[in-house]
Amino acid sequence: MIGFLKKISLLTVFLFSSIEVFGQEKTLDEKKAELLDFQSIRNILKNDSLEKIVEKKRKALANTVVKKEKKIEKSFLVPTEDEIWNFISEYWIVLNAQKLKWDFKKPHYGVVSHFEAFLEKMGFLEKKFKILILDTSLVTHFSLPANKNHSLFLLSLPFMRTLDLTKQEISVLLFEDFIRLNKGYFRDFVSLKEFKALLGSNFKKGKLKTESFFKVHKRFDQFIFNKGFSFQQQFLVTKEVARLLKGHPEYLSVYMNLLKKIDYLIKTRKEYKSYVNIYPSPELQLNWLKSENSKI
Amino acid sequence: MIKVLMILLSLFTYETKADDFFIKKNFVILGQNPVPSTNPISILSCGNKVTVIPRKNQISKKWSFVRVGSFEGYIKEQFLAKKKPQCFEDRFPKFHNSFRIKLSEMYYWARLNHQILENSPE
Repeated sequence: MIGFLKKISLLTVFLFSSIEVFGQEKTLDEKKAELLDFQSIRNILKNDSLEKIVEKKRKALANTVVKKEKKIEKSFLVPTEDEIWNFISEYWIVLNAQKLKWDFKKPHYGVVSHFEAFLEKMGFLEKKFKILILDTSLVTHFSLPANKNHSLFLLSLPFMRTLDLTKQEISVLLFEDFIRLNKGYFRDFVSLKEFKALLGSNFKKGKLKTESFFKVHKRFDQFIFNKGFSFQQQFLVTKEVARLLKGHPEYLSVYMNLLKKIDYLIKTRKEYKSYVNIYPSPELQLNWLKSENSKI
Repeated sequence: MIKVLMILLSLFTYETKADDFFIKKNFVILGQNPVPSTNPISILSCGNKVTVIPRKNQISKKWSFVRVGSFEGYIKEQFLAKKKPQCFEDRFPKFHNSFRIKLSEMYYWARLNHQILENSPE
C-alpha cells in the first residue's frame, strides 16, 4: 500500500514537471540560443580534424574521377610498332584463307623443334616463331612481320614435297626467311606513312581510320604475289646467311644444295616460274656464294 | 564409422574437383571431339573463363574437356592458362572493335590458331 502510494506520487510529480516543460512557450531569444553556433564550434571541429577528413575524401574522389578518365582514354590507344604486326599479319592470313589454303589436315612434320634447335645453334636464342603450312604453291615460302622477337613463316607443302626437302633443308630455308625478315624489307614496303603515323596514337578525339590498315593488307598482296624482293636485297640476304653459316660448313653446303634444287625446279616446272619474281635468281645467289667461298 | 567411410569414399569419385582456366588465344573453337577437325560448338574469346572437367578415361592429354556457360566441349590444352592473360582485345578494345570482325572471320581465326605450329605457346 505504501509502495503503491509512492509510485503514484512519483508519477504525479513527473506529469506536473513535463506539463511545465511542454506547456511553456519559449521566447525568441531562447530559440536563437538553442540554434548551434557553428562559428563558435569551428575551432572544436578543426581540432577534431573533421575538415581534414572532408578534404581527404574530396581529393580521393577527384583522384578516382581522374583515374577513370585515364582508363577511358587508354582504351582508345592504337598498338605500337612492337605490338601491331601479329594482328595485321594474322588478319591478312585469315582474309586470304581461300587463296593460301592453310586449313587442311596434315601430319606433324617435326619442323618446329628442328628449326628451334637450328636457330639456337646459330646463336638466336629464345626466339618465338610460328609456322603455317600451306596447301598451295602460290606462296612457296615467306616470313611475315610479327611482334617484337616473334616471327611468322609460311611454307608450302607442295613446294616441300616437289623438292623433297629434308628437315635440315627446311630449317636452312626458314633461316634465310628469318634473316630476310630481320632486314625489314617487307615491313618497310608495306608500312605506308598514314599507317606509321597511327601507331601508338590515341584516337579518342576522332574515328580510327581502319582503311589505313586495310591499305597495308593491299601492300601485302602486292608484294607477296607480285613484286617480291629486289636483286640488291637478295644479295644482302645471301651474304648475311653465308656469313652466319661460315662457322658451320655442313649447313653452308646444305644451303648451296637447296639453292641448286630450287634453281632446277624453277627452270623445269611451269608452276614455279614466278618464283624468281619474288626471290630473284637462285642461280645468282649460287654465284655469289661461290665467289664468297673462293675469297675464303 | 559408416558415415566416416562414406565421406572418405566420396573423396574418390570419378568426377574430381573441376578447375577454372582462361582462354589465352584471341579466338578458339570449343569442339565436340578432341580432334582439330572437330565440329564446332562455339567460338570462345581471349579471357573467357572455362571450367576444366577432368575425365577418367581421357582420350588425349593434349585436349581438355571444359564447361563454359551451358556449353561443354573440348579445347586444346595449349589454349588454356591458369591466370587471366593480357589479351590484345582488352589492351586495345576500341582499336579491335573498330575492325568489326565478322563471325566468319572469327571462325577462320580460331581455325588458324589450331593450324599454326608454335615453338613456345604463350
